[in-house]
Amino acid sequence: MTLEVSENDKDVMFEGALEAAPEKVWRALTVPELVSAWLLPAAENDGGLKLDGSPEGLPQVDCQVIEADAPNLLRYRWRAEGERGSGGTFELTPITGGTWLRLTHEAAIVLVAANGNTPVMRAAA
Amino acid sequence: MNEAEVFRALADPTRRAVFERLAGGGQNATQLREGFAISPPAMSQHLAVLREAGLVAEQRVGRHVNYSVRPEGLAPLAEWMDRYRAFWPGRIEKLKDLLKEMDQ
Repeated sequence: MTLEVSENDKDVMFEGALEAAPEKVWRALTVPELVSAWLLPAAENDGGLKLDGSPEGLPQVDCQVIEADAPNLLRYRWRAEGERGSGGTFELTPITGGTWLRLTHEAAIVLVAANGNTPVMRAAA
Repeated sequence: MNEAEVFRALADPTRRAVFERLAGGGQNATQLREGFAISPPAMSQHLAVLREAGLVAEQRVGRHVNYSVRPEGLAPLAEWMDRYRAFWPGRIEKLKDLLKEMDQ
């Protein structure tokens, strides 16, 4: 079970199969205690998560939920200290025996709402 | 020039389109305006932001100013991508481990 990596000029994308149902993966992506176990130490913060990268020499990351459609789509605004805002999107698709995960981390600054062309976030300075 | 400036410069769709056009070959401001429904001052403003971010160079040729892309200007974006290309795969391996340990 490997993850495939693709990229264009402004995002990094990974996808692959996970041996767990989307509902379970969803919890691993959203419950702070569980996020802490795989991503970075996490705490709830104003409807999103605050990730503490300092133990690994990484920045603090402010993750605000932009869009959540449990258990299929989760879009975070990913704002690491010293970086421009970026967007992290987790797409979960049920497959036999688990979940197909697609993670897109985009440097693209304008995230467009799924329901149209309205920019919902424009990273501020 | 830093990452934030490069990202800010490319955040604007028109500026990104101008940059992409120049990536196909240098042009002067008049040539560059063809196909863009924006005024000369607006184009100048966009070019100034791109130049300040280190993405575009300008060169005076006679009465015209030629604009061209500075490929090295994209280095901060490439660094950003390298950072996350290196970051995520290990995390996703840990996510898989966690999913094995979690209750349904």
